Amino acid sequence: MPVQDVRKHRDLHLERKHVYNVYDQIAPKFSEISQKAWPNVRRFLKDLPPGSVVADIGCGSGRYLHINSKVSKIGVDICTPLVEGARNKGHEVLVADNLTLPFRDGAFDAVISIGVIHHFSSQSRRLQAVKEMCRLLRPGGQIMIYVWAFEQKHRKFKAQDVLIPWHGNQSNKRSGSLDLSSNASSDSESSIDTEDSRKSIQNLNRTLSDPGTEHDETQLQAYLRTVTQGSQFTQKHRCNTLPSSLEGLSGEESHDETMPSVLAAECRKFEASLKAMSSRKSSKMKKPKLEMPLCESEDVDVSDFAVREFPMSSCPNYRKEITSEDSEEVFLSNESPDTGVICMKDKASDFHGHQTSTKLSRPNGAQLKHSMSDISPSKLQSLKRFDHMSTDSLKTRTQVIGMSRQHSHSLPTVNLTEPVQVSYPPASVPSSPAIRNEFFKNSTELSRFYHVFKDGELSKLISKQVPNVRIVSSTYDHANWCIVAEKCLTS
Amino acid sequence: MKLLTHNFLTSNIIKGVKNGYPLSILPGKVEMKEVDFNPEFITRMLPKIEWSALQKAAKECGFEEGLPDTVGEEQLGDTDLLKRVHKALLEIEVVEGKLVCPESGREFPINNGIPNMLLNEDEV
Repeated sequence: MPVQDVRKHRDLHLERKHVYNVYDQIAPKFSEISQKAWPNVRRFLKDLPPGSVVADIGCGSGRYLHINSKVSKIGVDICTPLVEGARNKGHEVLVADNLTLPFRDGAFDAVISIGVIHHFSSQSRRLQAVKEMCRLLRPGGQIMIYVWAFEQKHRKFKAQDVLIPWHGNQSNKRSGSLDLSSNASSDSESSIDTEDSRKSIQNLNRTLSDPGTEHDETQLQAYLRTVTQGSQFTQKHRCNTLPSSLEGLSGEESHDETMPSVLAAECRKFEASLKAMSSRKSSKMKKPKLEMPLCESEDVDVSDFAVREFPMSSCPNYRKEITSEDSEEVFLSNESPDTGVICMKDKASDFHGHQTSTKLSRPNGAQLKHSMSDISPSKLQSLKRFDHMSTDSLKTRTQVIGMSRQHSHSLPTVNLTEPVQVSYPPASVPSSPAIRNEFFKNSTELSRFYHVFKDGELSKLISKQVPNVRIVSSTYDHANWCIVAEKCLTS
Repeated sequence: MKLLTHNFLTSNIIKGVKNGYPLSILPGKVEMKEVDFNPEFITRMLPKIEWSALQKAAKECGFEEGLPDTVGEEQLGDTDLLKRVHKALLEIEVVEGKLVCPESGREFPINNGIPNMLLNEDEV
């Protein structure tokens, strides 16, 4: 068999096993998950002139298909169960392959591809997908593409081709709302379904330590000790990086790796941050309310704290990784405000999400990041005061994952009316090592293939290899690269 | 599947097919689903539509009101016409049926209103 056929088969096999079959199986879960649309994508769609025709290629269960009733949307996905879910919501959808889109040239005013092409297993397939989508654009039409970024603040991918385990099938039903894969669509275009979000947040189990324990630091340190000692945590449930040649794939889903030195380093970082938190505690106690605007406000979109595909799913095995690499940022659950239980949060949540800059910078502990979507103007004003990241907080749209370390440590003293548990996955991290072991053992074997893109990789691919298309913008948005490109007016 | 969607569909993706547009419709089950009439939307949509393909598709779906052979600029103010266009474009729903490639005869199924345009390996 010729080499290119071997490669083609291998690529297809990889995608079948780690993309299509996985989505087919996990599709039913998506409808349970309430997910907000990414603000950038929402804005792109809303800015389209009335009467535009948009294609959502890789629409999943139709998360974006309800946005902007003045434009016509057609959703396409290869996964029939997901498409059926979108259909049940009343959307115009069809089942097709991104590489062979059954549309005439230049028929669309816009195309979106949100978290899709990183599932293609080879450069040539990714390129073909982009070319096909650009073919659909009329001259002047624009495409917005979101892909996972290789460069992430809270995790280091060891390679660009990775397998990310899926944990949506945990026996704990609550995990549905925490799920990493996010193809469920929002219920409505208008902002917040606080009822649902609060419910889902209340269902989250975030605490490392049992409620009512004495000192957070002690608990966490104890936990960390177990983690650093526990090789059981490095068994199957790691982020699995694939060798770039993709050899040795042969049906194996995971490549076990142990990286005790990285683990230990991360734990040290976490302890250091804890200490930093404690030292700033007193100074921040004065204005507790301002430090936690998002948690206490009713009109804040707390579902932004829930799982989103980006960047949450970029944390490979968040249940495992949280023990090893996620230690950097923590925030408090105010389930019992007095105890000030500290929650481990999912490291994959990106803290600095600067859209305007492709340079990654480490946020310092004093920074409060917040999501700008669905926040009322008055709230924005108060948030702005705390956004040390940028003077123009509206533009940066940084994501609040939780409180900054120094703030979070002061939270125990805040008496909040709404006990909102703001936490990230995992759904539950049991406190005792024995239980944790069991917990991790029950993780599903499904994992999805991702090719995470490096800075400039997608732009370069488009500008060099896709004719008649120019790059409009390239931004980093919460651990994703967001590219907007435009079909040239003269071909 | 609405006829608006159908208007953009082609089977040119099949290897060797050059004239895969428009796809013929073999309706199995067609429903009428009411959609709010927005004349501005229809007016803006019209230039993007292949008119003869829409006319043919509407006929194949049993759209008795019919559509004229052409729509000129001067007719865009005709609300009755726009309403008919609206009805054909957005209110006809092919729930079950087939889409047929005009060149190769290859059939694509429509189930539950969803066309399945996936190709077999040998067609790519």
